[in-house]
Amino acid sequence: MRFYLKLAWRNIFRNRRRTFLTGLIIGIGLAAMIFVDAYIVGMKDGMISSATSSFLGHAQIHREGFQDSQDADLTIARTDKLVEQLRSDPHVEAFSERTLSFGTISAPADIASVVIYGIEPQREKALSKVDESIVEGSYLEQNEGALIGQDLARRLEAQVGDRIVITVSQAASGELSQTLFRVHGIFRMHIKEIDSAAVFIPLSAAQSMLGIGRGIHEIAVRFDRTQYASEQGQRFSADYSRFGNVAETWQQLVPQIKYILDMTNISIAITVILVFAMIMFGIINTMFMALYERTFEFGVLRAVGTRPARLRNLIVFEAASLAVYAAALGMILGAAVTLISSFTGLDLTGVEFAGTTFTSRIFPVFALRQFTLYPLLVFGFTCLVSLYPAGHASRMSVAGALQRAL
Amino acid sequence: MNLKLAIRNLLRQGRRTLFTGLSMLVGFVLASFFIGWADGTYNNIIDGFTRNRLGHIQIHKRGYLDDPSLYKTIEDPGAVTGQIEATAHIDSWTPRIYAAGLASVSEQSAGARVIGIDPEREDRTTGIAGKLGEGKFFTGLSNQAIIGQTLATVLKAGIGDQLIIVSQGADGSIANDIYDIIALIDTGDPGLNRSGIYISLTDAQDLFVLPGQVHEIALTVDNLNHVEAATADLQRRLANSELEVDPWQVFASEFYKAMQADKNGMYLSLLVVVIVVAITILNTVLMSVLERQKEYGVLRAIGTRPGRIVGMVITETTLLAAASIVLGSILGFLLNWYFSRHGIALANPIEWGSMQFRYMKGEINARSFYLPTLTVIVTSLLVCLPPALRAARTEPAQTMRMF
Amino acid sequence: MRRNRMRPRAAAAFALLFVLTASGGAFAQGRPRVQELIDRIDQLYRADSSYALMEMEIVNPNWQRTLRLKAWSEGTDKTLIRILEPAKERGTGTLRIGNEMWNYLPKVDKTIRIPPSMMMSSWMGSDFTNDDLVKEFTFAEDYAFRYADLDNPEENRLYIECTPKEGRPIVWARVMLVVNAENLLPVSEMFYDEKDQLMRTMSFRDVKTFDDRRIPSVMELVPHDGKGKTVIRYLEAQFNTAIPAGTFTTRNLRTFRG
Repeated sequence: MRFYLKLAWRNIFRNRRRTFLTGLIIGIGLAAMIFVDAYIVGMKDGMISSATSSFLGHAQIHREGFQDSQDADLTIARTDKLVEQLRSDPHVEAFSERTLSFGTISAPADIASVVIYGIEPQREKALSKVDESIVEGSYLEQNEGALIGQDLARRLEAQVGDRIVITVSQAASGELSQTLFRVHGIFRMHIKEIDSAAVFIPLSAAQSMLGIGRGIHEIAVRFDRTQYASEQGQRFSADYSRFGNVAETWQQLVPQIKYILDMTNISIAITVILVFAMIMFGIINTMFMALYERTFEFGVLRAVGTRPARLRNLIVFEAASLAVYAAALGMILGAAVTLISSFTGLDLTGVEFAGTTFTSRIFPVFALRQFTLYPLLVFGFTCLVSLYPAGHASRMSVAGALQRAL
Repeated sequence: MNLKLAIRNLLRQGRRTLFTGLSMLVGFVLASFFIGWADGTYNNIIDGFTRNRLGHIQIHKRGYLDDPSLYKTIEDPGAVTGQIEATAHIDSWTPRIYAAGLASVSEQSAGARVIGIDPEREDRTTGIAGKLGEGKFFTGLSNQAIIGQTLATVLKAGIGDQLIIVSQGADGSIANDIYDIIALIDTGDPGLNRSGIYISLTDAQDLFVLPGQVHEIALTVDNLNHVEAATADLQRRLANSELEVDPWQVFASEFYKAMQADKNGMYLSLLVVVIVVAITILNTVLMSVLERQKEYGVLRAIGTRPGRIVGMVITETTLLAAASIVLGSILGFLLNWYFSRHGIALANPIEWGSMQFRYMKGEINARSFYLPTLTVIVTSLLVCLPPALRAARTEPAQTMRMF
Repeated sequence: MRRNRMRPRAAAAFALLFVLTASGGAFAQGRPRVQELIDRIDQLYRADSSYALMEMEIVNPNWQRTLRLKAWSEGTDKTLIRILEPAKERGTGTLRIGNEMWNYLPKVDKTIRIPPSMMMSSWMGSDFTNDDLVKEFTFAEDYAFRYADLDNPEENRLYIECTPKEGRPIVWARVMLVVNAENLLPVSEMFYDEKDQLMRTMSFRDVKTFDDRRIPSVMELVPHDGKGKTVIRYLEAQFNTAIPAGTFTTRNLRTFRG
């Protein structure tokens, strides 16, 4: 057995060029799969991160019914318990408590209907990008001031330092409460809804305006790993949907993104199938050509007593050796090309999608399966494919084989 | 003479010809299918999203899209629809009115978005009747309303309840009327489900005092590839009016950008596929030429000029490529045709809003022909030349000894 | 909920409708101390109850119309308004008690409650918001007052500079109140923003006697974007009049007794 393995390995290097060419085609196929996979993963990560890191977070918790009715009365129940749970959860990197209510903003020039977010400025920094999106003025530092979107500012003809009055109806009584704010900063988050109709004020100010004491409407959560939401999303939902609250991951909050990602997965699957088809082709072609040329050699082998099964094994081992050689080639090539291209990345900046913008280039992401699963598949596939020509060769008539000259 | 020789050579080396040719053929078909499928699925999604809700093209008064207002109306819809009917590739059109108001059922009230539609046209264009949850579609009686299912929850209203809409008419008067809720609808857009109310166009024109006017005419086109042409045509026809004609890329720009982003990812995959196809052809063609070096050596030895040899190689390769392309085109066409009709059934249907994609369908287009053709020809010719040239130039004795 | 180009609410305009007055006697020489003047004007803005018949004319780029209304008020939290003209809307009414508000629509014969979220939207299609009807008039408490010294003051005019007090929910940076020095009635109010741009002007004219009070019977609000105006004309008014019990009920809202 070992003899045949050694023989097989030496055999394929007898015809260096052919081996190299076939190894190349298999290797390039593998390299292609690694490259595409790395980029698709990078793009998916980029999409998810763009969508969730601006403001949404990886997951959110609300009181049941709040998302539908937006009723200011529906504050999160047992916030203290949830906060405790979140703090001690190793998978939660950051979370932020917010109020969410509808109201109007008045400026001398105009009035607009807006959604008002009460945020804790420092905690919010760790979760969303509001602080990075300030284009004029400054972020909320103390417990005062308001931030408005650039589109809204334009409509209200408001500038940093101007007076604005925010009107909301209080939670329990429905009575209108009006509060004066100064515009501390103007932001641009590239999310249409937020830039044109959202106002950020300090949480305490919002709570007193709404008359909800220490109540909050929304907890936004960020996990330590982006994939956590996909992998453990259901567990998170189950763990935190307590006391009449509902915990949802981004997949449930913005299903459009998930939809696009599902589409992408299928694209990858089809690409992989195609690549495999081509690999198969190359292998069969090469093997048959090689076998055809070695007919005489095989005839000799059979004539000196090699059993057909052994001959078949030899050919399969040759294919296996070729596969190992090719897989190594492919992994090196794939890693090299991906690595080199990772210095520039794929530029999708500025593309606005589903309420987010791709804020940076897409970089390829190496994953374990690229260097374990795929090479293994290629190896297995090659061996499998070689069975046909091997079987064919081993069943040739000896006399006929010896008669072939060329 | 050359041709006959070339053909005979090919036929002589049956197996080699078969494999080389097969690699070209399979490469062609697979590339063709990939393109047809990729383009097909994208267009499916775009079509599903636009045809079923917004339409492919929309016509408004100039400036309406940027700053919607009750007062920016299409004053003479009749003239516009006349032009629409005369434009090629238009499947169907439907008019709409949009306004804001207060909706009230018993003790509950909420802000609402009122949409006036022509029931029959709307259904024909966007299939709205298929999105109803409970209840029945408009029957032609006046004062019927269909409300978003979330709005129904907020108003604690159901089918058969009386709905009051209060708003301001275009003449400043207080617009108010009472409607029967005949159905609930899942529009696929959560915001619209929370605030949308559909009433008939004539009811809306009465309510908001907009006699004979509409805010929007939405159109669907027979094939997504015709949207650009149809838009340009309509823009020309309506050039002197106060109207603007916009394709879906403009009024659904966020969706468009999302599709573009994903399409870029797809192009990357396509590039990879093309490379893989090229490599395969390279492999087979190169092998076959290399293996005949001895043959070329013999030919040189008996006096064949180097040029003739190169010519022979090129001719053979071209013939083979041509045959594969022709055959590949037929097979590729059949494959794409089949998948454009039946599609691949998905294990888990993809849901987005109220739409379900159960099948991924391909399509037949020009690119699925010319791109693979280009790949096959360019690759095979490029690849066969160097070794042929080398064989042609090397000393016959050396060539024959090499093998 | 958006509205078409909504105008900022007219601060105090509606309150002014019910409670304008003038001092009985005139201050002879010199001008009164500013706080006294404001207090007087403010005091005279208050009545325990009132009734008025008035016209509201609204002009904007899209249309123009004139409403004829009757209005009753009691204390600071009860108001009933009925539309008499145009004929198409005759019988439409608004009732406000405390924080709650209802509209009655004769065409559909229904009373609907106005949710708090709609309070900042327009009242019955006018340029006033529902909130304007509801808000208590607190001009005197909201601002700090002092006489302004202008370079070229008009004759017979007192100029009072009003600056919003710290933290009051007012969008204006300052308001200039111009008062007739003789009868101590307001002549105009000018509203300025942070950049010291004049954003709108409210002018008062046509002083008439209603009941036992002399007040400007016409108030005109003109925003300076040039997009129109709103004019209110008092036709009749009674102050501290007895208002029949049961006036401020939803039942009364529905039954129009002319």
